[in-house]
Amino acid sequence: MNQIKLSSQLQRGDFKLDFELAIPETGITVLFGPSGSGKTTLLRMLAGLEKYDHTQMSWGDEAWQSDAVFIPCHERDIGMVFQTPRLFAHLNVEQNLRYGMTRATQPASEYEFNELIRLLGLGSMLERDPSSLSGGQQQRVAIARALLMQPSLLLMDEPLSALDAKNKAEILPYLERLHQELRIPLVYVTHDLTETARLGDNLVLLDDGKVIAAGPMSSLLTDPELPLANRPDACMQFDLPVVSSDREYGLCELRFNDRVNLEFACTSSEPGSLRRVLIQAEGITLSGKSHKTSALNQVPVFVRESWSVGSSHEHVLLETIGDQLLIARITRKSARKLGVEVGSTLIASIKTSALRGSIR
Amino acid sequence: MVELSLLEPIWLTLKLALVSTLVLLVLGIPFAWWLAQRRGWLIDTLNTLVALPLVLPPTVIGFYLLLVMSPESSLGSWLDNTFGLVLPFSFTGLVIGSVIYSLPFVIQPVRNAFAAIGPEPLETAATLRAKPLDAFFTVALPLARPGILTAAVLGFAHTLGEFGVVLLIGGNIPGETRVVSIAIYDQVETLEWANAHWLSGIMLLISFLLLLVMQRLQRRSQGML
Repeated sequence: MNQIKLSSQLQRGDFKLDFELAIPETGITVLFGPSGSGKTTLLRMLAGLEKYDHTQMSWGDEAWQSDAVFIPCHERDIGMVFQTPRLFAHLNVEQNLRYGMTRATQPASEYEFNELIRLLGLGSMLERDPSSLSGGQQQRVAIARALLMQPSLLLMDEPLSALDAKNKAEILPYLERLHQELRIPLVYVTHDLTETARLGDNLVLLDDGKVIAAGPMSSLLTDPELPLANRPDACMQFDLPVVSSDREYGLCELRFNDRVNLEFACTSSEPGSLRRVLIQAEGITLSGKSHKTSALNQVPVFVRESWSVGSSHEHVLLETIGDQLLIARITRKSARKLGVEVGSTLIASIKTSALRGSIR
Repeated sequence: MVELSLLEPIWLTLKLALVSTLVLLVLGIPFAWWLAQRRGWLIDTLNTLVALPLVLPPTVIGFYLLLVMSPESSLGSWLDNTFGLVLPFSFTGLVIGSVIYSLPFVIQPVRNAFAAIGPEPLETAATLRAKPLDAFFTVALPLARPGILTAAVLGFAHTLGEFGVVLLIGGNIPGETRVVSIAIYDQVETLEWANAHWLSGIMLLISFLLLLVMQRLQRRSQGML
């Protein structure tokens, strides 16, 4: 497999990195961790922005950095989006977009240029100065500028973190759409769990310069040994096939497993297509047996494990008949009332509002 | 009316200022770029040397230049023997003197302009496949343009007012080294007050217009940002 391999034993003052990492050649790989964990440094290593000591990077059998080799950033076939848009102030939007295109080895065609401009809604801005655009618009230009080079590796360093909620909500769906169409690996740095679970296919968890876990997103989100499953905003990610869509109620029916379909609010979807769905641990309620509730989605589960999180809550790891794992976040009091024990069979009700879908 | 020959020092002064400014920009921009990229003892020392003409009496600069350029010095005799070049009391010598005299007025604004850009636009250019030299010409230079314009106007204006350095290394050769400041001094010494008035008035006007232009340029570039 043509993996991207990166390893480093960098030491700079108090900052220390010590890891070995393989990034799959397809899909979105999220580098997730608290600030100071080394995420941005890892991304800069992949980009070749600095020649870090004791660092090796290769793609397939091509070394980009080793003891003998260092390919500088401007010779690497990458596209990068930074935390801030970093548009060139002396160029207008179109000149910014074309700056990378004219220098790339295999840039987008004029047709693809126009398509992307339309998709990102940049058509009316081409003649304008970057300073006259909003933060969200600027970041869209920056994303387009990187994509138009048609690089073989995309790197994004917290591209939404400097934006307000409204601007974020404007770009995130686009990134999700990009995810579907992208044929190249994207390495995405963030410390936002929702962004991570919505976009990522693979996850690399970083802490204090070390890789504490790496693997498929869905399995790492529910691993009780990892910090993600212990957060109040813990969530699960599923890519589910659409069974049908109900226009009248604005709901889609998705196949969860052999026994259960889930319904959640969505605009119409093609039956058979995949929908990515996030389930919030907080949006799952547990009950002894099936009963009338406003929650549409009821899933039979049995308890695999439960543990306290903080002084008031308990997280319960549940397994479905399809071997899927769910985490429910309930108060310790209700866990006691319900008698949650390892092995007991329960009904998990998932509120539709706890389901967050994305276009896939 | 003024005689045409009276205006000769003004043309010479403008020519000297123009040539010196061009030399300063061509050599100074890469040098200032280099200074802006690096830190350390060497850089501090070079920055101090660049700033020296700000505080030194021009006659000190002139005196040392005269010693170095003189055909009796090793550099001067080498230049004379190899290229037949005698720098003291020549226009070329004056250009060298002016370049040193106006050095801080060009280097400092350009260096500050480059430093203010910071590393980010150049990193961004690198991620867009621009080689370092490409990034310098297409990103760093255009972004530093207001600073470079200021430097050019300041270097030009400051060279116009040069007196002490010229007096020591240039002397008073009409059409070659008699710049306007020397000419005015001459006219006053020989009690030709009317001529001194004409020359001084013209210089006052030129200098005022230059600085006014610079103000406008700065205002415009601020409005742009």
